[in-house]
Amino acid sequence: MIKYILISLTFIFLSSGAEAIDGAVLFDSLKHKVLSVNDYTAKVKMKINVHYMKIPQLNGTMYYKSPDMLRLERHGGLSILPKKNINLTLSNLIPTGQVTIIDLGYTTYKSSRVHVLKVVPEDDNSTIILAKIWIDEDKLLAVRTETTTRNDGTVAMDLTYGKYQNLALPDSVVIYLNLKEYKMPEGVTMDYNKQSENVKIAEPKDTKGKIEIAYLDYQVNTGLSNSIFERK
Amino acid sequence: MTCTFARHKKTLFALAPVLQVIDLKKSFKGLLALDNLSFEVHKGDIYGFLGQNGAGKSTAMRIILGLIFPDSGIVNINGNRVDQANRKELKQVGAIIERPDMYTALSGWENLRMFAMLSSRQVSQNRLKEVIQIVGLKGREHDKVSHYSLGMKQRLGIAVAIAHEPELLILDEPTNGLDPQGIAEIRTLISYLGHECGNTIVVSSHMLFEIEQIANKMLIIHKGKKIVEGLVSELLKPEETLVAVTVTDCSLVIPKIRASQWSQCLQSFASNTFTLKLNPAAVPELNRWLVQHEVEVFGITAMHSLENYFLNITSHATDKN
Amino acid sequence: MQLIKIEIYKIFTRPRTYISYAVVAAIALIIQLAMYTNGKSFVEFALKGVNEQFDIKGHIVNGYLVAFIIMQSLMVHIPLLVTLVSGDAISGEAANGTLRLLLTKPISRTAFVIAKFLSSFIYTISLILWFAVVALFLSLLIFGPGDLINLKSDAIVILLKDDIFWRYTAAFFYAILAMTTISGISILLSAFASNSIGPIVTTMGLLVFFTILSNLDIPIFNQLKPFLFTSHMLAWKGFFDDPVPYASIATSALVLVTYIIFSLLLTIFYFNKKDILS
Repeated sequence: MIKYILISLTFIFLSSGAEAIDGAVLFDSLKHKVLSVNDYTAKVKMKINVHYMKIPQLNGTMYYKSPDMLRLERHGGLSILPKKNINLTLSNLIPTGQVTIIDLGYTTYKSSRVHVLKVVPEDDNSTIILAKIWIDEDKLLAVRTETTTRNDGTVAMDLTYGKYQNLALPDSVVIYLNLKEYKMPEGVTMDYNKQSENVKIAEPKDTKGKIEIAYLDYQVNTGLSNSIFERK
Repeated sequence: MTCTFARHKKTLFALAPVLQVIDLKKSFKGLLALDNLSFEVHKGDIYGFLGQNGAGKSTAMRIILGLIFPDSGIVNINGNRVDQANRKELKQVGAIIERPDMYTALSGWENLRMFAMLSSRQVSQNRLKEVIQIVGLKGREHDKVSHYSLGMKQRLGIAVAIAHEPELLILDEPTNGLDPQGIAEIRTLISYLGHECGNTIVVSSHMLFEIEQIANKMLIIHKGKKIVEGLVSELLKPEETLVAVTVTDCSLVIPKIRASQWSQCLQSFASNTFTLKLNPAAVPELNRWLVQHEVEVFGITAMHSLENYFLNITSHATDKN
Repeated sequence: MQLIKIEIYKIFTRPRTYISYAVVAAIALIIQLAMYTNGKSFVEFALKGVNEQFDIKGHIVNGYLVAFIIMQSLMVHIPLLVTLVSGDAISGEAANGTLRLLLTKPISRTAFVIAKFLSSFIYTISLILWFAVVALFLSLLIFGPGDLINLKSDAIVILLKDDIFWRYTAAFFYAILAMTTISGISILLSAFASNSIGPIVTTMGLLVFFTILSNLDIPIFNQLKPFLFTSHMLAWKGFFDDPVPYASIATSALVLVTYIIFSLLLTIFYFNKKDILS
């Protein structure tokens, strides 16, 4: 009888140990997977939803080179990216160097079971103060991040994967930004006041903005030159 | 100069007036400028329109031409009423009102052609050349008007007025600002247009002597009212011409005059000039008498009869008022 | 028809007309030169608010942007050039003495006024077409095409380069309408005056005064704004918005057309009653 109880307890112990992956191990595995991509070229479609910017969908080519070089090429058109410190690359939103991992356990995110980690860089000079990552353990993919940076508040990112998931390269990314107010004096811009604007109503302005990027295809680790990122 | 005008063929209306002005009345800010002015101009007339400055001559002419609207009254041209609603009779009229201002950036020829196009009549290039010839601007027609003298501008104005062969010419002060030679040239031209080409002309001028030379009929207007109208030959009495004689010393001559057949003619005298009222035809006889009576004569001048008449009539009109 | 031809001929034989074209070219060239030498710093300054959160890179100082900047002269400079010709239409003739000679011809005063309006309209079209050439085509030649950034007081609008040319075409057509409004008002004022300076200065004074009223955000003036022609002259900017406020632009166009018709009718009415004393 006692033998059966001991064997059962051992089995239960081993089982639970097999399901619950250590947070630090998980983070390291994810980081390793993400950092395996040195560079990529991808065709993208970008939609910027910011209340003070009216921009149509931008089509272009995104170039990335590790650790933090990013360029959107629009072949004669304008490229608009969030300011340098809010980098679009997952690799930049996942802190490198010595970090402390706080395991927040499991939760459900978009109908999937995910493991949530908090990552705190030990380097006091790091631009990232805190990163919270929702990780799909089975696929070893970060499906959501919330990164608090030193100067630019918290940036949240939702990631969706497809055929490039083995390289942790998303098919689509949605980035959520905190917005600062934009205002120019009317006497300077001399706007055309549409009829509906003659009677001005104070509308609540969104303080959050959203950037949606769809990646259509990737060419990975092709050995991109730095000169691509130096062009004006 | 040659005149190739077609003579006007409206013999049916030969007795009807070309221009008829009936009871024109016009005030400007309460000031009466025309007071029931009426007159008629018949075909072939050279009609002198006389008056002091501000008498209403220009006002009347502007009303005839549709530049000013009368408070009341009628203007007929060839029996057809002319007003704001009906301006087509103006194609039979050519006019200069005060000075003939043209487009100075354009040449004389361009101005002439442009105004001819607006006359509602077909005016050929040959006609324009003929008109340039008539007014004496040949060789200068392609110069810019800004380079024209005042006399040339006046002549160009006349060219513009006659280019479309109008039946009626209205010339308001056509010799204004011209030198004596210019005045003589314009007078000759007007006389030619009237007497040779058969134009009916209404001309106003301060130059009474010029009107006297060319007009057959005249009207004198004073303070907006017509005070006299009629044939020049009937209105002006030659025997009432004033003749001024300049001598060394009137005191020696006047007693002789008073004792002679000239005594009733004596009008006035001053230190060395005396004035007689007599027919200009008697001047040679007066001259012989003066010589016979050993009077040293420096000059004998006949005051223009029209001028004299005008001054008399307007001063009487002023006195009446 | 003869009268219109003559009026057009008179306008296009005057040195003043060609001075206007030269001034338009000079305005465009000055701005193009400024943008060529200092465009980058100008853009940086203008986008300061946006640059706090976004990096905008690429060919920002391009022909479409420079042309857009040049088109701001449609507020004051181009109307001045229009009024220099239109304000002189009737009063200039009166001052020169040619009016009395013209009106002794068998043409109705209504026809005369209409001819003045039409000839000024044709001049306005020619001026805006020339403006389009030096502002847009020359800018494209110097700077090349690119996406356009339109800075508004509460937003920035970015238009993609393949979606811009038709907007400029529409904007220039609207500019013709706006300048024709100025032309109409000038001619109306010209009918009242016997010298050119009065109508020109008065038109410009009205333009400046009403522009200030149109842009002041004061409740008492907000009631007036929909009726001021200056509030509607800027509607060409609507073509550079996203989405394009077609209904508003159409309303603005209707207001301007009303001003034009009103100016024409009032000029005809007054001129048919006016004694020509000059």
